[in-house]
Amino acid sequence: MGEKLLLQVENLHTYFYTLQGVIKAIDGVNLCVREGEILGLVGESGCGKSVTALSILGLVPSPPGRVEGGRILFEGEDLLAKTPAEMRSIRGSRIAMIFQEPMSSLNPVFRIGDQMIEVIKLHKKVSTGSARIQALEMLHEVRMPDPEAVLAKYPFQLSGGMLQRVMIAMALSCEPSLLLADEPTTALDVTVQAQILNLMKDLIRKRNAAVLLITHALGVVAQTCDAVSVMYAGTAVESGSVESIFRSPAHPYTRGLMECIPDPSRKSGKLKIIPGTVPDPVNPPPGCRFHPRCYKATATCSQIRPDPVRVGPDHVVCCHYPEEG
Amino acid sequence: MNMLTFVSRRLVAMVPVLLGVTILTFLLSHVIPGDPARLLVGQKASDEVVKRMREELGLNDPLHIQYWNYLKQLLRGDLGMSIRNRRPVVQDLAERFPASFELTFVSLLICVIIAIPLGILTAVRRNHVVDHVARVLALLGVSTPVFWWGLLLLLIFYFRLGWLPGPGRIDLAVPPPAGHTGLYILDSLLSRDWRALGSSLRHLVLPAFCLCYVYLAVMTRMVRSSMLEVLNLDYIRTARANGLPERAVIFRHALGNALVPTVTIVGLSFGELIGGAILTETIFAWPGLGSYMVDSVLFLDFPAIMGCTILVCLIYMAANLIVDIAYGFLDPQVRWG
Ligand SMILES: Nc1ncnc2c1ncn2[C@@H]1O[C@H](COP(=O)(O)OP(=O)(O)OP(=O)(O)O)[C@@H](O)[C@H]1O
Ligand code: SF4
Ligand SMILES: [Mg+2]
Repeated sequence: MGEKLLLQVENLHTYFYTLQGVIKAIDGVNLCVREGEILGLVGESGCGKSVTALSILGLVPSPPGRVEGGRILFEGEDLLAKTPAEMRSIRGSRIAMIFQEPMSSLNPVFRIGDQMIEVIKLHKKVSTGSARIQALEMLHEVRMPDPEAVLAKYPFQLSGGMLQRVMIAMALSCEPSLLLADEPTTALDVTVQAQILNLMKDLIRKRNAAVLLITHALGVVAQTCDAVSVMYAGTAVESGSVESIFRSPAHPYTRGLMECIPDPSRKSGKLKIIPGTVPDPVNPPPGCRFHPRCYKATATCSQIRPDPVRVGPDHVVCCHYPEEG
Repeated sequence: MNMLTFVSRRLVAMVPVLLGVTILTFLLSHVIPGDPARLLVGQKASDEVVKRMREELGLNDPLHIQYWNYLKQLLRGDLGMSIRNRRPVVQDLAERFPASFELTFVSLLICVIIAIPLGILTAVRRNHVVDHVARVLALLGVSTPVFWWGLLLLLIFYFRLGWLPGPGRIDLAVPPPAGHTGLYILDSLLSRDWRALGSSLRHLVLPAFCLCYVYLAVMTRMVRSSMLEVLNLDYIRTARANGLPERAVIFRHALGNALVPTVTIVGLSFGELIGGAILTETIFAWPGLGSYMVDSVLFLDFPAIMGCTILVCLIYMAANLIVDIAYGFLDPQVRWG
């Protein structure tokens, strides 16, 4: 794993202009992914994980969405300053993305082979024949049984797990240096989840590519990731290496999340949950967005938004009163 | 499952429907007031003649025997004699059908050629100027009666400007093209009769536009809404995430799926229009099935009404079959599943 920064998201703001008001889905998020690193992005449903990934790719549905501010530096270039055509040539080749629902993420009326070949031809400018050979190789690599036959199949003829393998093969076929994986295993059977994650990890390591792995399962982060960023209500609240965050979570929200992981060794049987609910994205609470639910909240917390503070070598937290130890 | 078994299965499934229709038309001829034999021989004929006619028509047989005979007659392609003009109904229909077919086909063709691009455009540029203009025109289309459009078109382009010919399929001075199909465009093309081609094309313009306007409005909105729906689907997001140009996203990935509901509408419209273009055919004196049916009803010409019913039903079913086959082409799950 290199020390060089591959992706740097600085103070990103992405808003949705809806009839109910302006949804501040992303309101000042900072992230960074190093070369070859697997970064886990965790947080409750609706905290803006998917919108973060879509903002990076320039695919926020518009209308109603728009990236309103910030910088997204990828390999030193600001993606927000790129033209649509430049972004298209980056998508699928230098940054690829896979989604949560493999069943609906491929076009139902085209064969798997045609969809893979289309992407390879687009970015690598090769003939159909050689694109087909590369598609076959990729299917081999994702350990797809009988790749030749799979090329001729339609999406509805494959299982969810197989389709997610196809999605991975397609995403990696043009050698991206960054893969955005939005809950790639959530929709799959539990037995298949680990297989797919391990497969992804293997292939990524082999290529020295980096991954932004979106998930809401901290267990997945512990097994798969090198670093982790925790999001809460459109903001990044804590980030650091997996080791340091699991050893000493500094943000009360992160701590709460960890206590929510079911622990089979504890016999109490009672699962802890963080009290309160996710704030309304149209009218988020002022100050620290977590203060209505935080057990340590003070008057400062409800007025002043906490700035990032460094609590370890690469461990940053946005909290006025970070936990110690 | 291959296409052939798919089609033959659909064909077999049609048999009960057809039988149902024949039972319906058969019963219809028995519940109507009045004696078919009397209708056939005329008011002045003596009772003796009517009685003989009843025998001849088998009207004294039990109902199921009568139905069986009727069915046999149908299978021979015999739809009986028109009361109005004493010609075999089949012969009348054979003359009327091509006129209706040609009008409906051209009209829906215009409709599709305009509606699909316009639907795509309004979907992609939704809430822009094109979209608003199209919305107003569509509203106008569905809320103005066909006869109003027909008369307006005739008034402007025929009476006032004289750019286009008036009623009929072809100028009276131009002999209809030689040929067997009765479709003037096809026949004149096959026989290289350019004069007939020009004349019949010019005659088609106004009725075809008049007929298609309402469908044009509906179809444009339909293409637009299904396009918008498809553009929101996951695999479109995948296509964009793969860096495909918007052109490929819209035309290759979205359009095929978005057209499925439109194919249904086109198919059903075809069935509906071919016997139902009554107002248009009447206004433009178009010798098609719609006006024939109206005349038959006015004359209480039951064999003709029944013949029309069966024919229109057949066309409707054929249109449905074609829609199903088109589904098979558009959606592999139908073809293989
Ligand atoms: N197309 C959209 N229109 C309006 N609001 C949207 C849209 N997409 C996302 N949002 C809003 O943005 C916020 C963040 O959504 P996002 O999908 O990023 O959440 P998430 O963290 O990925 O959640 P999940 O775990 O459920 O996937 C939500 O409040 C959502 O309502
Ligand atoms: S800033 Fe205050 S409210 Fe927010 S997490 Fe820290 S202690 Fe809790
Ligand atoms: Mg999400």
